Amino acid sequence: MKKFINILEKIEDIFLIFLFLSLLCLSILQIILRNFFSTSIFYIENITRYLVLWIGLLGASIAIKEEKHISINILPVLISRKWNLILNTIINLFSFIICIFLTYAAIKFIKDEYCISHYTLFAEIILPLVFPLMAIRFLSKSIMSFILFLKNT
Amino acid sequence: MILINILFILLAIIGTPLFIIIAAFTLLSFYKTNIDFSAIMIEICRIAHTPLLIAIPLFTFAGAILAKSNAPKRLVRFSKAAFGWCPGGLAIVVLFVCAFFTVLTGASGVTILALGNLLFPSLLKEGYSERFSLGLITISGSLGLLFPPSLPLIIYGVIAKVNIDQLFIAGILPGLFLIFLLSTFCIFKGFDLPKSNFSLNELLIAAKEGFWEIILPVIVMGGIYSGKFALSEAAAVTAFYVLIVELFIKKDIRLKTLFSIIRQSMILVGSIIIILACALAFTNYLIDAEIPMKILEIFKTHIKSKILFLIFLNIFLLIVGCMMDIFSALLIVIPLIVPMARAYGIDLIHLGIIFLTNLEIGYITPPVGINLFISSLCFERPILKLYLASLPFLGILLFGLIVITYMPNLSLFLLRIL
Repeated sequence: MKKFINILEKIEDIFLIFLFLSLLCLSILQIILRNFFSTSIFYIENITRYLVLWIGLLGASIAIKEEKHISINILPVLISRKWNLILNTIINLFSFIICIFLTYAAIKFIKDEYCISHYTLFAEIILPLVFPLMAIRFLSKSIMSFILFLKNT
Repeated sequence: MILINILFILLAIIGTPLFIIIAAFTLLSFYKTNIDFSAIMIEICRIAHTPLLIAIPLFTFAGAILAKSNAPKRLVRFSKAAFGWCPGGLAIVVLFVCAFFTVLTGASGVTILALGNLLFPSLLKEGYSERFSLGLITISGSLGLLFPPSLPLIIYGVIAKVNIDQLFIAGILPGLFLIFLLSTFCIFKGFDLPKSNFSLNELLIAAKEGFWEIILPVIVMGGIYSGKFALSEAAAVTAFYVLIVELFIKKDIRLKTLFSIIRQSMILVGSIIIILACALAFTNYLIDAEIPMKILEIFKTHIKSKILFLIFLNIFLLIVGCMMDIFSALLIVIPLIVPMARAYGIDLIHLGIIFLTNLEIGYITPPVGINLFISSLCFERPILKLYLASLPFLGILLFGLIVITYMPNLSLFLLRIL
């Protein structure tokens, strides 16, 4: 199981790096085309803009694992490890609940979009994929903190 | 309902990721006003409809690469050769190099982490007191926010819907003014310390060493103002240029570290973009519900003059600056402030400069300014020591803030003559 998760996370990392390199290459290509060949491919700009969304969401998901999310983190410095574990359990559980709501919103959004147009659907498919992923990450972190807390007492 | 609001705020204070809190508030307000939850996704997708945001991943990456390479060493050597001969020389070097770096990294604490361990020991070696050195590096971590093309300036422009080129020009004089004030203090502090002799030879060698990095601002700003490329393209050029220089010309970065740099910097980008996305949804709700207008009504009955409003604004923003990181502060507060500032007749470009100067100072304001914590971790010194160390600098910057706030011409002068 652990091995399986490791492989998935590796794929996630590689995909993130790939997205960024595509963003960089496409932007450079666009500049070269415009300045030296006086032409441009109009959909490159659309792609790069959606790449930013994808990078942002995927990066945000990995940031949960790495604990890199921006938060007001004064309290954790001041209190004991035991209390920190309780706090982490609560924080991650709450985050999990919100992510479930966001997943619901994303699925509904894609359903509605499907009825209107198919044009941007492919680019927006990241939404219902990344929020459940975040939810799982928060839930597992919440459970882990709780288990650690039980072991400590 | 009020109970739920209080609960959310409590959760924020105990350290819940801010994007979760903002999303929670948005969902709650949608629920109250019977808006479908899926609307939040429409707002998140607006990230993909704002062309300028491409600059965020690209500049962050460029900053991360520079931070990991030997560029800081080369830049310090060059600035030392250029300024080292004058009293307080090394301290002034710190100011300039940090400002240069922060322009690219957007004051996310990266500057202190990248340069601190290089600059702190050399300041001590030159005979500056530990307290002065700590304070200097801590405040320098956010210096440079006002210079183009810093990300916070761009984000302010996007949200307040003002012309970003003008914003860039407006930031230059106030930014230089702050550096001038701090430099004066540095000269005063370093007057009795031994100075290094000026050597043209060393300057030339250092310039040759750091040539590729030194001309970077020229390329970026030259490209933008000559119309060769747009701002988002300038970000791409910067990222590409830095990549080529550090990977192939200077060979500071190996291919393997490159991937880990991309990963790390894109995680940072993710944590910024997700807040941006959620905040876009939240602010749109605020505007729909006419909340800024309601706050304005309350203001208008109590605060009559522009000056009083500006004083209030400064105090409010200082508190915001030391509670929140710069990106969430920009996103949440600007939509609230802009209609009010307009009603009191404050130029929106000037407002942007006030705003960023305030946040810059908020970073080092005790008890919770983020740079104080980063420095405390980076240099392994107790946080109380950093409070004391940053105090004189805080005083100087506050003086600068007052001048910038109440003399709009400092920001707007260049715009008028250009």
